[in-house]
Amino acid sequence: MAILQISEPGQSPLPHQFKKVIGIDLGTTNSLVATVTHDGSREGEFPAVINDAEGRAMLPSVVHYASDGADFVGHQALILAAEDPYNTLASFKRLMGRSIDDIDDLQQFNVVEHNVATEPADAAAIIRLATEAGHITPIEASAEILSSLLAIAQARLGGSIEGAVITVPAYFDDAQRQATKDAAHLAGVNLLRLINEPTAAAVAYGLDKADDRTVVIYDLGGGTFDVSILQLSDGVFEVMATAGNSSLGGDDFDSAILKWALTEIQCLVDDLSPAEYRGLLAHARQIKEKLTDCEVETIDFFCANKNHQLELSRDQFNDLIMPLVNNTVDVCRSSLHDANLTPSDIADVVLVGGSTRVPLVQQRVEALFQQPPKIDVDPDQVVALGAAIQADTLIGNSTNANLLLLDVTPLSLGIETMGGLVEKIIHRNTSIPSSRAQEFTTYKDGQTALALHVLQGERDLVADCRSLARFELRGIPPMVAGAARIEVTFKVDADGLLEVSAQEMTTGAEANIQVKPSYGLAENEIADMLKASYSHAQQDRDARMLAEQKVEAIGLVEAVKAALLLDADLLDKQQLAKINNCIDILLSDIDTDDSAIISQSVASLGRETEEFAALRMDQSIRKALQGKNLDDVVE
Amino acid sequence: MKLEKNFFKLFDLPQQFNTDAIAVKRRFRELQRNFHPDRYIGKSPQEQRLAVQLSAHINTALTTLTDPVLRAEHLLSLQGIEIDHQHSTIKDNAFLFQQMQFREALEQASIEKDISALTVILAEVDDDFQACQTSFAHQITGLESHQPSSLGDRLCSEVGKMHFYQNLSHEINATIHSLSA
Repeated sequence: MAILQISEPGQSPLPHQFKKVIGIDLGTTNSLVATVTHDGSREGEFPAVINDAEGRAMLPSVVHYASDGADFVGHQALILAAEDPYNTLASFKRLMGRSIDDIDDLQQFNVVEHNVATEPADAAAIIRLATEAGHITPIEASAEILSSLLAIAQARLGGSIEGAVITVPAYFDDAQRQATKDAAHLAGVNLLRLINEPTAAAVAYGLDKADDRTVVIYDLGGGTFDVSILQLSDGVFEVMATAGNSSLGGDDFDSAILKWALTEIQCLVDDLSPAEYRGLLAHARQIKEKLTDCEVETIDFFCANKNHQLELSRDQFNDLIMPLVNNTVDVCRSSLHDANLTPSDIADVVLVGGSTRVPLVQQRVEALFQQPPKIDVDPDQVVALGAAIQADTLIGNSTNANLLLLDVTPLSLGIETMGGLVEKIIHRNTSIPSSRAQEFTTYKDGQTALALHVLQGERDLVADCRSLARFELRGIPPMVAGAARIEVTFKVDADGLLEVSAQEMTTGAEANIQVKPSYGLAENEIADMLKASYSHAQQDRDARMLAEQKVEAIGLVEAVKAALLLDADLLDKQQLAKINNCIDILLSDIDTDDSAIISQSVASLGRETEEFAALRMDQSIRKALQGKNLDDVVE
Repeated sequence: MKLEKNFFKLFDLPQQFNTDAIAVKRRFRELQRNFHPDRYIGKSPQEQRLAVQLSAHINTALTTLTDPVLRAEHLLSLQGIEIDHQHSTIKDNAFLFQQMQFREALEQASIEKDISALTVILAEVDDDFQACQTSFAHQITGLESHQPSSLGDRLCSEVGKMHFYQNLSHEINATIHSLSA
């Protein structure tokens, strides 16, 4: 949690004071940060990308780890990538939330295939990349990028940033989302919400200001492909269907060119040093970019001590990438089918991601949807801009309070049942947040425990789905097989993260788990990394943690006070006195500077207001049901 | 927090099978605009948690009200009739025979990759599905609250049939989609 700005207790910030919030596009190849500036009027809200000190909008998602602990992030790291590829991590977004079981998928990685290091004891361990500075997880590398973006934003906006919206590919699974959230935590970014990249793009296009319509967002980035179908009505963005391929992107176009070139000059990948490989790949990328405007390009490939001159035409290039582009078109068709739509139902098609500049991509998309796609907002910036607008809305800065994003879960979530089959509990394209319970029973007579295996994916067999977590429910009374009634509840929150609980209905025996994939980071690992990431002494560290804790405590008091101001009449005298007492205790405890005491008082205020929160919610619902203007119900 | 279990009440709609799809959607957006967790950022953690619960509940209500089979089941459940899917069987032989015929036709057409034949079957299935819904909508008006009756049993069997038709329709759709890809 980032250190927030504090106004004096009981004194809420003036209405015209806008809170500093940012939107972050944490990309495979490049990352960006954006914000919305205000002049106070509805028309005066300007989303813009925040440039770094040198005026650059994009920060390469590259981190160089040196043995002396001096890390370089972004442009400098990119320069070092060619000379020192072993210690320079790039494209690590593709490894977020991945286990070494996915190693097949990783072979194509120029960087990591040479230096994937894992904990030998644990086959499903999180991927760690070996560098001179030690083994680095993709989460830590992502946190470096986030910290740099945060610093850029702080430098420009002056002062601390109150919150951020970070975008993820719509097709990211639970593990990948959790990994992104962990990276934000590590970087000290106060994450307001994870939102999907295509949804962010739709927001940036201001499509909510048009009439009711259905739009398609086609997002081809460096490493991921996503398509989302959204229905827009009255400021509400409702995702109807989403699909994609989390390991297909413009990087694959570069690889296709390189593979072609190496075949032409009869050179084997194995003969190349990592530095050479990296260099050639960068070269391939330049050619790809040039072929956007030129019909033919000449390439100099320096390989095995010889210079080779090759010629690549756009037609040849199109042939090389045709299977990849066709794959994206098939995904578009499937998602239209999922949403029960045909191409003619689509009012707009928006292109997002740098790879959509490739002419073949634009042609194929136009052919499928029978209309020229929109590409007028810079496809590199559009996601960050949308994220900034959403952050601004969430924090309450925006006058456009109507804007609401209703997203879906991209993949089905289920439980392993007998015979290695998956029983889906929450189906893909279900609106989130979502909660669903299903009953299961025992298989053997006298069975007293149940092993629950949580999976994500569309296939019927456990082996074909992604394993998210395993946990056990114990204390089931011995009964004949099939007599126990075990209710398993899946809850997906607004960030798309899953929590699973199980309860035996006759005895009430309970077990639950916040799904932390086995290849994700454990809570204590995050804590350790957080500690390690501060170069300060123990004292400073504690001071920062205490400061954060105080800010949170004051935030809670303010929230409760604001609620009391409106709805104190819902409480009887005794309840009100108790809450006020808890507030007073907490406020005085804040000054003790004792972390344990503060957290205790925060917890007791939380407990004491549980009932109050429920009463307020009930009142809101009641008003909503009486058909009153809902905007009056919740301030 | 008390969650309104009657989704028709929650959505301010008459408690009947035929619903106005546009009104359902409009009400859904209105409710989410007020109770979605995004509207509770900066509020106390207690209220944020409740908003997640309520918003999920509204999502469930939308799914239930827009899906004819779930909507029919919900209507029955509001009258105290719960359908036990695992133990219910359909005894209507004519219906079962017709289902078999549909299945055979589907299998034949998918082997022959005959998309136009599949489209014809799909239209028939959807017509029958629709007729089944019309019959359910008509019959349920005569159901007295919480009275066990033969009508209740008949309605349950109609819902069972709807299940068949819906699954079959999905399957044919998926087959057509995979063949045309």
